[in-house]
Amino acid sequence: MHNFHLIWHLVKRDFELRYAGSVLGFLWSLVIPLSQLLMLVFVFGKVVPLNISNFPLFVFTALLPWNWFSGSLLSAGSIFTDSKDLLRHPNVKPAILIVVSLLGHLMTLFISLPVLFFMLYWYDLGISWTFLAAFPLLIVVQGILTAGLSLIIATANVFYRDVAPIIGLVVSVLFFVTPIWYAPQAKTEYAFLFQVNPMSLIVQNYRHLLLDRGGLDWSSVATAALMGMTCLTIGYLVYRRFESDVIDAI
Amino acid sequence: MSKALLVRQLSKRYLIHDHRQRTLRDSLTRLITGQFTSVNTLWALREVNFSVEHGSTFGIIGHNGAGKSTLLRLLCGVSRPTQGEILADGRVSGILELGGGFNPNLTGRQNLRTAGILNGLTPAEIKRREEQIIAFAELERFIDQATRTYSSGMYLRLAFAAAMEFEPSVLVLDEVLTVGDERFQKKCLDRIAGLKRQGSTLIITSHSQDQIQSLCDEVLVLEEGRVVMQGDPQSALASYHDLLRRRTEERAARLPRAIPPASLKTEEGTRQGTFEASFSSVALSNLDGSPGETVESGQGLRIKLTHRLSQPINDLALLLQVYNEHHVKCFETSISSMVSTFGELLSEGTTECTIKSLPLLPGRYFVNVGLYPTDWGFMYDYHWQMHAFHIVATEPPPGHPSGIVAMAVSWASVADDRDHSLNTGRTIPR
Repeated sequence: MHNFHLIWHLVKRDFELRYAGSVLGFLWSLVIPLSQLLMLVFVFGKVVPLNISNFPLFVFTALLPWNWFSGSLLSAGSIFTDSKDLLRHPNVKPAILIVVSLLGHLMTLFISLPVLFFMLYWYDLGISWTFLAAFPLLIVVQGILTAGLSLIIATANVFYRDVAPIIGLVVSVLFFVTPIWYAPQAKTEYAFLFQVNPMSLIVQNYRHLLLDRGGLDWSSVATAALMGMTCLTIGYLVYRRFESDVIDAI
Repeated sequence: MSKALLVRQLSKRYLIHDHRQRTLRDSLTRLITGQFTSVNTLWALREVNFSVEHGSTFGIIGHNGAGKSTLLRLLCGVSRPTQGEILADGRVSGILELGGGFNPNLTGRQNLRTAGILNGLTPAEIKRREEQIIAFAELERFIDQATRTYSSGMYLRLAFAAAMEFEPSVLVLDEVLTVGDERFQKKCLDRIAGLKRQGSTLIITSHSQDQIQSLCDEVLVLEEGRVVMQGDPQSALASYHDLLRRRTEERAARLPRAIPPASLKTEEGTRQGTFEASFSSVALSNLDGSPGETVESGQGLRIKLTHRLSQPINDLALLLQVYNEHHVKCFETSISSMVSTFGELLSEGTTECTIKSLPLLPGRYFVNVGLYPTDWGFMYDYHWQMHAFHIVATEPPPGHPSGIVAMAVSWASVADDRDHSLNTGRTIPR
């Protein structure tokens, strides 16, 4: 119960910190994905048309889970290093801050959900019951994956400050090997990229559920979950090994 | 739990990095050149065991680097033990350093709420105490501003108010109690006394031996991360002084060759130190410059100290004390850095200490002087009861005074309207 209070309080506090002194405040969580969407739709819908039907919706279904993932990873580096004031306290296990960051970024996803639903109705697709049932599962799978990676990044960045900039680089590469604004072609020699990239697996499931009104691709979800569990296990082991040094090193 | 705090086999290891921030490049270079051992470890605490009784005031003393701060940090949970455990009966709360604990970009109120949650309070409980804390800290006008705009005094007041109003069962106070204005300090001390009446336990460190002696019920002495002893303040302080002596001896033994002290003619007392720096002369004189070891009570004394360095030393700390014949300290003054006070340290130099007035009762007294490194870790040269002087009174004071300080006293019987005694207003003949 206390942990629940604590995490909830810290998520709120994260929001207050992130938007302290800004006029739009939490509306930024809406403005940013919408402007990204606008940009991508302009470039790949008008300038270099890819001729994908319902293109704005096509992009937005992938953009939301992707932003949760990339946002969490990009801020993961500073989770421990910028929380000296919290980690001084005996009741704050460093791992709690990972959960807080994860939930904080999930909030921005939820804030954008009404826009996504609105677009689904706009394009006469609606929301299937299958999606509503599968949505929590996809969130959990992606959460496990992101938590594992964040744990590794946050811990490593305490000792090697190069980690955060490297992650910045990796995330921008991942943006292009995840089918966010394009549809992966099955018969190219690069098709394997979309099989080993768990975010690609998750994104394609969202598309299948929302755009094709299909069911879950269980094998790809299981693969992503397995990768996520592996990351989380490695992350946890790294974290356990260095936990007491983390607090002294920040 | 019968104890307020139980510490068992507590050890803390720090990884010592180079001063610069480590980057992957450094690590790769080391990996290639095979320097795997470049991260040194330091055991700041080793197998520390002690317990603190409920409702007591517990002192921790030790030389700089003995592990005091590490121990306090562990007790407050700011740092986590490498081995061993700390069992606390209730909440431990403390104020260790300025600047920690609050996020500078959040307002005082937001920080307060976070602190409350972290201290295990529910949001409702925090709301109830919030106003009380703000009132205690006297920050009503500033509480909704970011703490980065606070002065260090305001910051400290908020930290103190929060730490105390959350009613910890163990309150840990480092030397920071000396910060802040006197009035607020008094308020804090009153509040601490209140907490103690409610049965809270207090853990303090202090450089002031007088404070340790007067406040503590029990004292722990640390040396090089280990517990030397736990006992009453008197024996703990004795053990602390013993450590200083031992460190000096050990250092003297490690010197390539023993350094003879600058010769000095005295018949009594003891002299101790490594003599890398030493006094070559300690001369007492009256204020008019006439040499002599006899001073009229209330008159002044001038002490001329000549030091000599037998090898280059960057800086010295200087101690001067006045003791009476019965080993009671009457007065002490010190200079913690000769360089920052007087400028460059020459291989031979003279420092003069002028005491304008010595309000001491007639008797035999001693000037004890010492040269120390600036961290006071051992003694270069300490003179104990070597330089005697006499306080005399040509006109004996009235009323057989005793004690240490000579105060101006006169006696009189005062007229009383209700009393029809014949002797009203007459001075008692001596």
